[in-house]
Amino acid sequence: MIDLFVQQLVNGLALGSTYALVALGLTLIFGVLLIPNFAHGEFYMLGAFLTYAMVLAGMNFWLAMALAVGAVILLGCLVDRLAFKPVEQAPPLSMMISALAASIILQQSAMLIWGGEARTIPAPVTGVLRTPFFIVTWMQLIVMASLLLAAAGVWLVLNRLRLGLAIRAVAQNRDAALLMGISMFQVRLATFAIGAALGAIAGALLGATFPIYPTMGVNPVLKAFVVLVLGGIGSLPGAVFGGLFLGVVEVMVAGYISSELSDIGAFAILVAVLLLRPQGFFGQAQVER
Amino acid sequence: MSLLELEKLGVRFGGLVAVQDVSLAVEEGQIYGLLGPNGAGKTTLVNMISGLIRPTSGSLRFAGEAGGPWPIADAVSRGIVRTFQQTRAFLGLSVRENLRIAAAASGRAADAAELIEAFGLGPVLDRPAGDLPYATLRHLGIALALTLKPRLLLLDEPAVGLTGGEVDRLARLIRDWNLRGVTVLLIEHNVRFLMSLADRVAVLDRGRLLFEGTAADCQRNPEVIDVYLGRRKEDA
Amino acid sequence: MPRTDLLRVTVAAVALFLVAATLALRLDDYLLYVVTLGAIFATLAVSFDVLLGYTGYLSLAHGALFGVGAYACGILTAHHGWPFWAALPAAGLVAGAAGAVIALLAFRTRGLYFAVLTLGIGLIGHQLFLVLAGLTGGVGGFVGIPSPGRPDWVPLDQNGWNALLALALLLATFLAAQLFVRSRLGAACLAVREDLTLAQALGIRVGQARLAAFVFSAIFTGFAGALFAAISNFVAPESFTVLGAGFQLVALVVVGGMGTLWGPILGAALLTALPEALRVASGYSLMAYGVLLLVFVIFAPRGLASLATAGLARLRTGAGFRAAPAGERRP
Repeated sequence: MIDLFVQQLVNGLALGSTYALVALGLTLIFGVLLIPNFAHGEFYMLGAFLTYAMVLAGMNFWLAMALAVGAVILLGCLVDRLAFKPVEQAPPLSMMISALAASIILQQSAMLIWGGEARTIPAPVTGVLRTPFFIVTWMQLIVMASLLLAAAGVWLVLNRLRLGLAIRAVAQNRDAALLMGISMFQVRLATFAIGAALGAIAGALLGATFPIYPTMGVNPVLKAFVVLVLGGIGSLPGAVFGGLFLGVVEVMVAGYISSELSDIGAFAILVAVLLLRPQGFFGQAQVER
Repeated sequence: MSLLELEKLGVRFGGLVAVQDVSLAVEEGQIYGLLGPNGAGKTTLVNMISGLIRPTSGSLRFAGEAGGPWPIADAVSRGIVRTFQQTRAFLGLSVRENLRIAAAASGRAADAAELIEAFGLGPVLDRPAGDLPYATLRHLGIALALTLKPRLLLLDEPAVGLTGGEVDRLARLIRDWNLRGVTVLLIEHNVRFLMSLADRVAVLDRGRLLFEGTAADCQRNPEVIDVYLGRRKEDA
Repeated sequence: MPRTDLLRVTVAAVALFLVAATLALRLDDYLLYVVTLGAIFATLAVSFDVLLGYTGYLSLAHGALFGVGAYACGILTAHHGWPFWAALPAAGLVAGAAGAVIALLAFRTRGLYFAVLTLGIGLIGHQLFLVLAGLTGGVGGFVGIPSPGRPDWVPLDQNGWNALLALALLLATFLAAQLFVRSRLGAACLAVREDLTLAQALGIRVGQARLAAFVFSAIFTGFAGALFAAISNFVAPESFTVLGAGFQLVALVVVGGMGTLWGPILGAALLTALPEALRVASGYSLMAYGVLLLVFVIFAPRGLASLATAGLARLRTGAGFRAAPAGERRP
């Protein structure tokens, strides 16, 4: 028989996987470049909408998703050039304001192109897997598998590639890294590319299950900030486990208490964690910003 | 009775002992010099006296009142005021705004006109502090501290990076205000500058008090010469 | 000198208020409504500038505080029969109290963490407006809020009276903010913004200063919310979102010029008038906010105020235009 609790747990892990994917990109960009990228939610949203547009034009979902990810990577690097690079030397407040502005601009662009109403991407894979204890859709499984693949991929890039070494060096100590001759240009580009790609993948996959709309990135990016705080800024395992945890909590609150309270629950966690444990549960020392 | 008495003041950060059992006394009206190589714990000691960090052992008396060190705001209200290494000001604001803030911080601000005159800030009153020449910025930093009418002024390396003429001018200013009743605790690397001003000197080495006495005795002390003065002379 | 300076500012502000009110009352009802809303947003921007511009903290909870003021006014007038003139100060106090609680929590963090924390609080606030439907009317909105009472001797219709009240609130907020930033607390706030460590070393009670700034801005944000509710007769949660009202406040203040108090009024005027003047759909207005905000934060971080000052100086001296130095610091 289906156990309600186990079923909720599975649903929570599936939801949490998208949060974790978004949070991975956000934490990477913040951990390495110290950019609070509020526009990360729009990378996610555009990943969904670009996939939608191409699927609508008759393209295969997976091909569309790959192209969308590529396009969002380009866009991510463009956003870095236009919005973040120019305020690099300015006080941190400027960076935050710039990020907010970038987020609104991308969101409103999507609003102008596609309009405000919700749309759905036809799911590439349908059907469910029935087990004795719970039911899980194939799409949910794909989302969870993507998180594992993405986390492993990021880990490999950071730990097995020369470029990854450079990225980690910059995250540790930017000035020292520059003195050692590391190209900041490459590191920035790579960090934004990886971060944007993770966001776009999450958006495309979620869009195959849930409705998409131009402001769909707002809540996930805010929740990703919750995850960041939960997991410790710049910590990749923190992002993964924090995202899963948040997803489970939300589904549980919605299931056992009230669906109206699930968002409040998530943001209350944010507030509580920031107050009680601002360094997160996985992170160590953090940057004073 | 001494103005400032440290009784076995010490602090450790984790396992690292930064300052250990430092006891010394600064008399009212003195200029008291604090010497020591880099990392000897001079700034840490000043941070403790001014209330920026809490000591893990020992105590402090100020003007006969026991119970210190106090949190920074309470220290300031008792008349213990510090500057920062190479001094510090509100760089984004004009000199005038800087002085206004310092005056507003204090219930009994010093005469601004007098400080402006003495520290040569008149011509730059409306310029942002961040645009000031190095030496003028130092003067502003000290003027901010003096606005609070300190009884004890803690100066952390005020002469670093100044040219010979600028150092002499700074020395004159410090002596002027000392003659008006401000007791000074001066941390310096520049031995000549410090010796020319200080009535009494303490030398710190690796967190411990190595020497305490008059400036003349200090220059004759073989240990001090060995650890610090000798090395500095080679550098210079 | 500061006292005569304050006198000059007061005289100028009152004169501008009289001119603005005289001109506004000649407009047709639609434009009058635009002016009214513009004045309310300018009020929000001025009070927000005390926190963002003078104290250096980016709060994203102020959209919700605006809502707290609005709902407080709605509940007191529509449900409890209070007159508007009693509900207005009460709404300010409620928002101020909410602001004090938020500030006590949020000031345990700083920088980005402060922004993210207030963002979370702003979202909780918006969700609460939705969830507490018994008090707020939920997603359907709060209907039937009475208009601000108009004395019989006033020779204006309700629209004119609303506009006059909004401009008067703006004037009062501006003068109160001028007093605040010139006070010892205001000086302490500047010190907090510029260099927290040095501020502490000068014996400034930094906790007190920034709490005062937050509560000050919350109270006046609450007043603005109350007037907004009474003028609109209706409020709904979507007026108080983080990325709507909360973001707009940031845009108004930054585009206008942080840390000037009069710059944000310019910003509010420009950003309210621009979409109306261009007669564009509301979809473009948020876009315009975003683009202007980005352009200003990169190219003119001191906002319209600094451009205006530079322009005036140029007119006065007749000299050629000199661009601000590249490394210019922003407040």
